[in-house]
Amino acid sequence: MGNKVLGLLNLYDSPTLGELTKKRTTGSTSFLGRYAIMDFALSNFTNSSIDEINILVKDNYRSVAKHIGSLKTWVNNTKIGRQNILMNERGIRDPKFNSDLNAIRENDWVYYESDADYIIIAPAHIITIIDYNEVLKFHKEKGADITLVYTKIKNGTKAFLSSNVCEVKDNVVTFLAPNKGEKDDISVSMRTYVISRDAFLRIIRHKDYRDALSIRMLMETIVANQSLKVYGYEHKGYVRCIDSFEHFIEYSFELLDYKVATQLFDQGAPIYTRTHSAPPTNYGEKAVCKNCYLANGGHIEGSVKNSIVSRYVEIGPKAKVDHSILLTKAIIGEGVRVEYAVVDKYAKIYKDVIGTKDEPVYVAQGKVIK
Amino acid sequence: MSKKVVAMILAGGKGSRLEALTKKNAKPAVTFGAKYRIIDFPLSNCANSHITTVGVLTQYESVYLDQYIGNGEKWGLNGVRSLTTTLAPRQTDEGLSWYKGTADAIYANIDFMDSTNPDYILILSGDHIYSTSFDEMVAEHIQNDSDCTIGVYEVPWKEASRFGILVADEKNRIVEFHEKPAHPTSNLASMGIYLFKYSVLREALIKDAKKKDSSHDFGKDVIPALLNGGARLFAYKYRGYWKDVGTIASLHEANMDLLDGTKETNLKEIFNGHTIYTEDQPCHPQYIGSKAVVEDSLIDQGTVIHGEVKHSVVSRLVTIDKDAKIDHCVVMGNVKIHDGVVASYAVIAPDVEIKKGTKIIGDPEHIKLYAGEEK
Repeated sequence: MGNKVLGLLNLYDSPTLGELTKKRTTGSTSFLGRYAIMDFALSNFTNSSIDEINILVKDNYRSVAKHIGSLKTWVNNTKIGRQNILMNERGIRDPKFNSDLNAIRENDWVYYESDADYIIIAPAHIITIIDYNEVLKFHKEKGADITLVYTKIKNGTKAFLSSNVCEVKDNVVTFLAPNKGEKDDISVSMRTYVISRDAFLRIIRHKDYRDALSIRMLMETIVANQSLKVYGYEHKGYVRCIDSFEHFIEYSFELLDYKVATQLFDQGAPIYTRTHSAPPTNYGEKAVCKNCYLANGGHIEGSVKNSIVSRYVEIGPKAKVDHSILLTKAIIGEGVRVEYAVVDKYAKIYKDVIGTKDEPVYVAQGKVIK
Repeated sequence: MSKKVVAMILAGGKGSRLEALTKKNAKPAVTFGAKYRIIDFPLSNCANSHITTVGVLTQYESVYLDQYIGNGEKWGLNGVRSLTTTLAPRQTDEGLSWYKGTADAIYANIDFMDSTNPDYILILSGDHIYSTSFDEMVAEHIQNDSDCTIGVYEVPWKEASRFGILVADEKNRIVEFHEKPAHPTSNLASMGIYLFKYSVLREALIKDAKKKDSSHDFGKDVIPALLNGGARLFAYKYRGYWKDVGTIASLHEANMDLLDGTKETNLKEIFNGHTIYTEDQPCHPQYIGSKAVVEDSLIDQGTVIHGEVKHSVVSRLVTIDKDAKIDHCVVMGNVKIHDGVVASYAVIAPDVEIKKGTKIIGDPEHIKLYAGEEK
């Protein structure tokens, strides 16, 4: 990449997904059977040769640490590469001020210690494939203070409601404010920013921005005042913002159309994830499987259709699973029907669980239904 | 402190009876069970036995195998007190010499073994499919004050003449050893697994190396010499699943043994409560299309299946297009199977593309090997 870049994965910046994120962050939520949602953002860093990765964690530290495991999954060189998990310890005692920007201020040693030239900040919940080399090239060519990555969408009344609308004129961001869902054809912020490390350190301590609690507020202030040159980089291609339980389900199932999925998987940029030594998936003699993603380690004896199945899931004989998402080690008993359900980890289902397309059922982690 | 067991895995053979599968690849690196390579089994067995020092002897087509083994990380054999290394033939003061036999390969690495300060050396073969912990074997070895304990497997009497056959007394002490006897007096076959007191092994190897007429083979030379010299040799009866996958047919059979539809065995039973560790490469979860049929099969991640797969083992990144029909097949990694292909009782070598409409038809007695079209 030429310049040294520090990638900052901002888990503060992800909306929660209801019950599903009661005990985990949105970033560490299972996606498509074998990934965590944040694997996409982390792999974008890796595939752009960014070797210093910091993960800013607000809560559910355990769930993030468990997924991150050792340093080796996302860094290229395990000696040169660095991976830190950063928390705002003071913020835990004072939740009102536990924001991403305060967590960065609290952990500013990272930015003094680092010898990176640039910092790229990205959220965990936006699923896309992006080459940061291109963004950085744009940032340098424009002589930007900050580059904001945005994308154009055609369903702004339904998607990216948790994000900001932006207006960009001659590559300069002229307007940035929350998406109120009033228009479909809009440009939205991907909450991804490029900034030099020097400028970053100046800004987080600067008196003019002292009142800004979050990066999002900071960006809104900077754009409103036009106090720094904020350029907009348009990212094209598959972008989904997983910001609600409904979107989690919708965007998961959307990828069952393999043509849609190739936009994520056929880009020559592998998605890295922590691996688990699971054996290959075992399909029984009477197994029926149609239109599904399945991770390894499963044992399918019944029928599973239009569904997403994580590691080590067991579907018993004569069980019928349709339009559902089964997370790790879920067990579906013999002859049981499961429709339109999201079954969380370790849950055991011995009685029919039937939701509908509009009202899917959520079965909590470890719950036994009999 | 418990006694230190160092494992030495013999992985240098060509495995020429695997035909095209080992033309450019060492036999221990051949794909097995959709996700694994054969050598994952002995290496995982070491990991599952808390053995922390492993030397892997490579020779034939060693580049890929050396790279695959690396520092043993894939099997967790790279911890703080662990050491995993490959040991290929080397050039020394006396010149360059290839490994001339199983005993010669171990002999050539006495310096390595000395440096690891072992109490016992466990010699394993890199091309057997079995999942175990050697804890019990080590315990018996110590209890018997054995010089060498040999893993044995009860084979059907009619097949006994194909193996190195051991005769043991009621205390499992070995009294006779016959290499491929015409009229076997026992059905205990040597598995090629030897647990030695290191002092005994060291001395025996040095003696064997000096013998001009020796073929420097454990089964043919070292074990008979020890037995004749009155050493305490014991048999350790191995009871779980064990298979030497030396031919296309036996490789196919061992793969089929993993499936639910094979009544005598299945994956769970063969893995025997242990995890087999292996390389896990980034690829998407397996995708099964809306018209696909997948029955009685093992499928690895990264596959995209639109056709019909029955009683088969399918590796990573394989694509099977619509109207293709696969049954009783072993499909190795990264194979593209196009529309209308029919394959039955076949082993498909890795990285091949099978053109539209191709028929590859074997039968239970004649397993076909497909390694691409002849050029």
